[in-house]
Amino acid sequence: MDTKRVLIVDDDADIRLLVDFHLSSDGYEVLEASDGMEALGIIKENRVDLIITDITMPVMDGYELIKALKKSEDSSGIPILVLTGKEEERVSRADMEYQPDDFLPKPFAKEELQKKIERLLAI
Amino acid sequence: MHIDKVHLTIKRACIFLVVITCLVIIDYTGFFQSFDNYFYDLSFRIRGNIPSLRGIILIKIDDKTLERLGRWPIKRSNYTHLINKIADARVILFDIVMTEPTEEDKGLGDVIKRQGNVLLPVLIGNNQTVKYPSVPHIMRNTGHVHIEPDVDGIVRGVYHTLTLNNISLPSITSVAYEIISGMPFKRQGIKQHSVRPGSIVQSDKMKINYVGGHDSFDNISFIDVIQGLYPPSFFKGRIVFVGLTATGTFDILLTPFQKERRGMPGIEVQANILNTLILGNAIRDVPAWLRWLFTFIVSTGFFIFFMGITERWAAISGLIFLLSVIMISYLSLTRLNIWIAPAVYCIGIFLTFMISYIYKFDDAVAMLGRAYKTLEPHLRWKGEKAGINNIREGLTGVLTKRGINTQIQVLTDVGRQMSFEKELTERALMSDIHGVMLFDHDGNNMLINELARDIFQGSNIDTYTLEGFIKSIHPHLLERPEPESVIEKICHEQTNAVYTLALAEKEKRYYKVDFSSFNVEGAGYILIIVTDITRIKELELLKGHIISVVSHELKSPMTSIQGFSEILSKNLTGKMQNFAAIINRESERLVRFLNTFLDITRIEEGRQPVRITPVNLMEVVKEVALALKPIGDTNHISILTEIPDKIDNIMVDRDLTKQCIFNLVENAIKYSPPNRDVIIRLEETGDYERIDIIDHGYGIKEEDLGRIFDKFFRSTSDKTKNIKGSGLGLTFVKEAVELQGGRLTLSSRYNEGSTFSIIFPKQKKTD
Repeated sequence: MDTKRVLIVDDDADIRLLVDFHLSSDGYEVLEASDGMEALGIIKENRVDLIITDITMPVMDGYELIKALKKSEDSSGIPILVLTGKEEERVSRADMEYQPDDFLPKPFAKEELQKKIERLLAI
Repeated sequence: MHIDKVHLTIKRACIFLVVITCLVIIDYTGFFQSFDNYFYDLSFRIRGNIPSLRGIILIKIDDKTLERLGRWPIKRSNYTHLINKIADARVILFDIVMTEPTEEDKGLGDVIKRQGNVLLPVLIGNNQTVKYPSVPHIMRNTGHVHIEPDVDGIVRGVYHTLTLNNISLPSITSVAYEIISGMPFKRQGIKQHSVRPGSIVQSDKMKINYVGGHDSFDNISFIDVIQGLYPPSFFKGRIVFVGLTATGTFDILLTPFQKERRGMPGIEVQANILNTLILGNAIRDVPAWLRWLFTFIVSTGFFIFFMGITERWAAISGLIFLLSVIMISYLSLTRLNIWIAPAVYCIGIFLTFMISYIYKFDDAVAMLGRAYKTLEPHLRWKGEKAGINNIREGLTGVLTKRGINTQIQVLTDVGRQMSFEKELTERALMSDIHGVMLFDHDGNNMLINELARDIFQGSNIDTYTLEGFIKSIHPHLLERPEPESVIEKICHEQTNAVYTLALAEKEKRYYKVDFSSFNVEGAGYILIIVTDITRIKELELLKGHIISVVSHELKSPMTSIQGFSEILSKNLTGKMQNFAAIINRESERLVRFLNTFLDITRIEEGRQPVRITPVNLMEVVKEVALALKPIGDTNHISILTEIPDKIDNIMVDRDLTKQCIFNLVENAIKYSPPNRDVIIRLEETGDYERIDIIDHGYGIKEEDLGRIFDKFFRSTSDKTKNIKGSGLGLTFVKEAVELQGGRLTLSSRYNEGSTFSIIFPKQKKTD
């Protein structure tokens, strides 16, 4: 089986580094983007199996990214995991037009991240 | 109070009876005699003349007679002539004393002996001796003509028997009665021991029923008879009185009729006496004991009656009774010849009225005194107070100069106090610092000031009734209590309640609504004071917002710190690994603190979305127990669950509830020494579902129980001082439970353990 490719979208380079470290050590291939626009560019040119995204970002935020991805037939099948420090967003996701597939609050422990990724990729 | 009232009633009844007894005693002494006599005489005068016996005729030795026969005394041979002229008369009574012997006595004596029906008076001399007429052959046909006027000089009665030195003297009229009727006159007789030597004892008193005033009987002149103007047949069978009426020759006796005519000579009085005797219509008295008994009964009856009605009706009914008594006594005297002396009843009823009036007055004044005393503690006005403590209760409070003056001064004080209070209240109420509303016990608005009107009118809040007000502000209350529970709390339990109201018109404004109830004379009122706390609330929100922003900002760096320290702790070795693990653990704790703090802030700001769905608490409890098992194992605490076989779903927020139970169980583990149990017990009781979290840990000191749910408060002891905590966990649980309409209760014993209970009502209304 091919190495799974995960895209991390976050404006904080430290977070990208952290997630990259965790995933790389677990054998995933990791791509990085610092905002939604950049992420869309990467997805166009690369096969991506899973997207982990922050919500609050410059240029194009998480909501817009999710909306764009879910709208496009090409990318609507890619599972999306939201990684955010805003608790409210967990409870208000029901109000969102397009839903992410899962949610992980910041800060997170490695095991939680692992579990969620495994579950999302298994679908 | 009640006993006092009974005592007072008994005391008053006793005083009343003593007064009436005194009245009776005074009556016995004859004190009211003149009053009674006045009515007695008046009754006769109102009645007027009644027909007299036609058989009685008076032969008067008048001025005309003396002109012819010479000066008084006239020769007794004139009497002999007279008797011869009227020989056919039934009885001839002389009201002329003939005790001094004269030469004509023998001739007169012979005629009298022949006639046999001539009566002469005896005289009681100055030395208490009886002087009989000097006329011979008269011995048995004598009687006294003594008339004893009452103390007021009016002749109302006669004593038919006088006893003097063991000699019994009948009245001349009683002797005449015996001759006419042929029957002995019944005499009561006298008790021998009551007769002192040398004194006269009067007995067989009879009240004369006068037929009228002067000249009520047929009368003719003495000289006319002697001169033969009347044939002997004129006198046949008649009762003839012979006596003096000439001017200056006799005493004029006063009778009940004296007011309208002049008095009458003795002969007329004697005629009235005999008239009364023959007709048997002497005036009889009601026995004294019966009168007094009646006085007691009537007065007592009226006393009870008067105490129960107003003074006006008492006065009217008393007056009616007075008039009735006088009327009855008049009718009884004139129709039945029975004299009911009315004075004692009239005075009795008057006294009864006065006493009942005084008692009522006393009651009223006592009430006034007490009213003043209850006012005293309320006098806040600091000016000169005119000695309210000197207020006297009862009659002394008004009847004495000092009493009435004190009450006037106190009333003045109260007046000043009222002005002061009114000024104070108006200023306080009408100042636009607070919105003020007042509702009466029926829940109707009595008062609303401008500010309150301004606040509520724009927001469609009903200010007309209390219920309407509570129902219409309810959706805007941050505390979200049930409207029924608010009404119950304020109106029935009479406790104060404070709520925070958020009204959004153009901009959101916050108000503190303070309900308080108070009682005045048994009537309840509800006062609502509304304070604008928008500025304070905005500052609070701003503070919360700042903290929230700061907390969020902390999260990104914390993510890095926690994440990288975790990586380090796994990859380093020895001491370094330990240090990295500490950084990781502490950063986790800091994040938990931040999260809890943000949760509370969210609830307090009303930003916490609550998603009420049907939840099976059995599942939730099992999940919590499972999730906390690792921590329990680490601390050597076993988590036991006591769950019923079946439980109804309940309408709550699943995530919030789970987090609450989680926090409480985690706390229970944290605050228990190793090798103890923590029990999660789920119960369904009637209207509630209840989750008890029971530990056998360190417990909470009694003095800390009241503050345990306060933000950042931590109850510490030697055993728990090393346990780390934020002091926010319980605050969150309490607020989260209440947000869903539940209650959180706590019972704890220091060093024995605690039980926290989350209680949710079953029929939870969904808004």
